[in-house]
Amino acid sequence: MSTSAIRILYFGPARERVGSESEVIDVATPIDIDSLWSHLIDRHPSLQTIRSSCRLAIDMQYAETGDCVNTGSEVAILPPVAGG
Amino acid sequence: MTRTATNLAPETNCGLTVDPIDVDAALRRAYRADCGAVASFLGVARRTSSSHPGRSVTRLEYEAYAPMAVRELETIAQEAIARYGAAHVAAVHRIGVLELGEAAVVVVVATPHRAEAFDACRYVIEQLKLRVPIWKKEVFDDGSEWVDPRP
Repeated sequence: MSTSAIRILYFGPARERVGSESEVIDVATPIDIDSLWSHLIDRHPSLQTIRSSCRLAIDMQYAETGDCVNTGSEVAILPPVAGG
Repeated sequence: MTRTATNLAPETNCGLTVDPIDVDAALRRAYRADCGAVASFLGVARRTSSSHPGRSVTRLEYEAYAPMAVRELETIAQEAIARYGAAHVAAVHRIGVLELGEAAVVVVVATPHRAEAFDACRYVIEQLKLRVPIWKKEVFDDGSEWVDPRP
């Protein structure tokens, strides 16, 4: 296990709460998505109230519980989608 | 463009645009000599809000996780080809600021016969709404709200 930088992208209401479209954070990888969420909520407490409604994508694929983020991955925080 | 060959390979036309959607061009691209049916769906920016009845929407603002959105649109188009035998699937979504009455999304499907065209067109728009990472903000005179379409 090593510490590495992963890029986090925020969209819609998540972007507004964080106040930024993206950031690079240093975490120990691989990191499962529950642990990553805890890390992100520590940085941005305003994400807490929307966490349960958000999905997470790793390298443009929807992640499932238990999935891990590896070094160099791009993670996106995806609030409920509303296309159309 | 007029096509005269038969049994052409299925094709897709998926993407995002910040400019007004050229609906006529999307329809024309779907015409094929091997397809007797073209079905289309347009989603249009609407004044009324489902989640805020009684408030008037003044404009919509869409944003997307663009590379993933295009990839999901393409995946859905390929599913429509596999499930319904579609020979052409277009799914183009607009992002940015939309005035009321402007098209936010167009879906166009060509199939040999009409039943599959309607089914495939509906499949594409319903899956788009479930899966494609696009967000919509309704702007009112006195504020704005992100749309959460979950029941």
